[in-house]
Amino acid sequence: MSLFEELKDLGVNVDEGLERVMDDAPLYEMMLGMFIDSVNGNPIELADFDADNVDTLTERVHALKGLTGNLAMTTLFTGYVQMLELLRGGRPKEAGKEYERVLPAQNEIMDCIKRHMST
Amino acid sequence: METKYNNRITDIGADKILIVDDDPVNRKILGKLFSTYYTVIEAENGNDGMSQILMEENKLCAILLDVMMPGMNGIEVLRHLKRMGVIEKIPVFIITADTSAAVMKEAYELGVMDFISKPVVSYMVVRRVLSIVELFEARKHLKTVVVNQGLELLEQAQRIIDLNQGMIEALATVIEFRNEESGGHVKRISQITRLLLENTVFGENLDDKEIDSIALAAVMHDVGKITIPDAVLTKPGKLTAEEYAVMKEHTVNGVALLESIPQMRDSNIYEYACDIARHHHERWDGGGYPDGLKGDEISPWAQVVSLADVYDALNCKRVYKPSYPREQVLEMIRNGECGVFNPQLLESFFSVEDMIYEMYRELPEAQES
Repeated sequence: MSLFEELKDLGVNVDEGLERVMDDAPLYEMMLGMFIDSVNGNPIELADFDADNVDTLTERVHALKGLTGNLAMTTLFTGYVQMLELLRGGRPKEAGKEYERVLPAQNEIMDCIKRHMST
Repeated sequence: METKYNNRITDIGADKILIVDDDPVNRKILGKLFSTYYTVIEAENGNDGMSQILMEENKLCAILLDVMMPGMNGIEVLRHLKRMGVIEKIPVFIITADTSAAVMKEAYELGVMDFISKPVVSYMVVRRVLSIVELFEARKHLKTVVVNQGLELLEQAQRIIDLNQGMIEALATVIEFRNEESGGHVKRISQITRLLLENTVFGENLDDKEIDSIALAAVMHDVGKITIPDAVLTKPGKLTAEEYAVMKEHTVNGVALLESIPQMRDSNIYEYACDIARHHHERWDGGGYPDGLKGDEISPWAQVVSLADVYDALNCKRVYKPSYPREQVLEMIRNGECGVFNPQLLESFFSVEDMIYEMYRELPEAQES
């Protein structure tokens, strides 16, 4: 199965993502690679939601919200929107619960992308 | 042709779009969307964006600006652009996922063109940006055309003014040649008149345009001499009473001549020219001609031209007399040997005579006369 088909099965709206870059598939693939780099480069730990200062965490969630939105990773995007609202509303613990909920789907998508990119 | 209005605006085609966003994916997407239409340049934060704007201001046709960025955020960039006046020249679009009412209000007040939500919808963002850029560029082009047309009209007007002035000076010079003078007399009268009006109380109620008009009108003070027969005009010796009566007619004849030129009547120098032509031989004590005006009945400009005429005549050689040395000229004017003048005018004249003398030293034709 191709990368795009697998991503569709994982809830990514690949068609919308491709439309955003005028059906430039190589560019979309490159952006998927940037998503991996971004998640790895700005890691979010569950413990971060218990910290007193959540400014850096909020910035990272904001960045991932933008990234997942652009790539049309709808499930993840919805989750990050929710997390951002909770963090800005001073409810980091609830945001942490939302992250816990989103994390398995994000890991699946990342594994899929990594697998295809390594071949 | 080199003119003082030679500062036309050049319509430089702006063809670059600047994307200011800290998210590389956003920059990639927007870059992809606009690379078909413009040269895309990128900045990864507000500070970098400001540097790019300063370097490329004239080449930028649009700025796409994110709000939330580390360092200088999008609203701070907007505030700078507003202060620099850039926002009136280059359309700025806010591309953001966070559109709080307060941010939107401030951004619109600062002059932002449009808000575009992230994640962007490609066809929508392209159409909205292209339409506004097109309008901006058309407006810029029209402004350039209008400014340049205005400058062209000013140049044409200046050429007409120069031509008119040249024709007036040519007419006055023709009369001088008939009078066997060098041709520089009328120009010197004009320059002395200007110098007196610009540097003494005699010009204190006149603006620059009025002084220009009077200086040009002074050129025509003797225009009526064209009606005087050669036998009288160029007679080397003393005139008889009858001949002097004929000679005196050049004042009223000058006005008649000016009145007969319809274009002259519409000119802003007309009133001054008629007054000067008629009254430049009046005397402060009422002993002059043709009307026997006395004191302040004679206009200040006619008084000034009258004194300038006498000064130049004494300084230069004429068919009926030699030129006199400077000290003698001043003595003759001071003693009233060449007419009776307003004491205040004499005081003003002596206060600037050094300047007039310097002017004569710089005019070769004055020394040859």
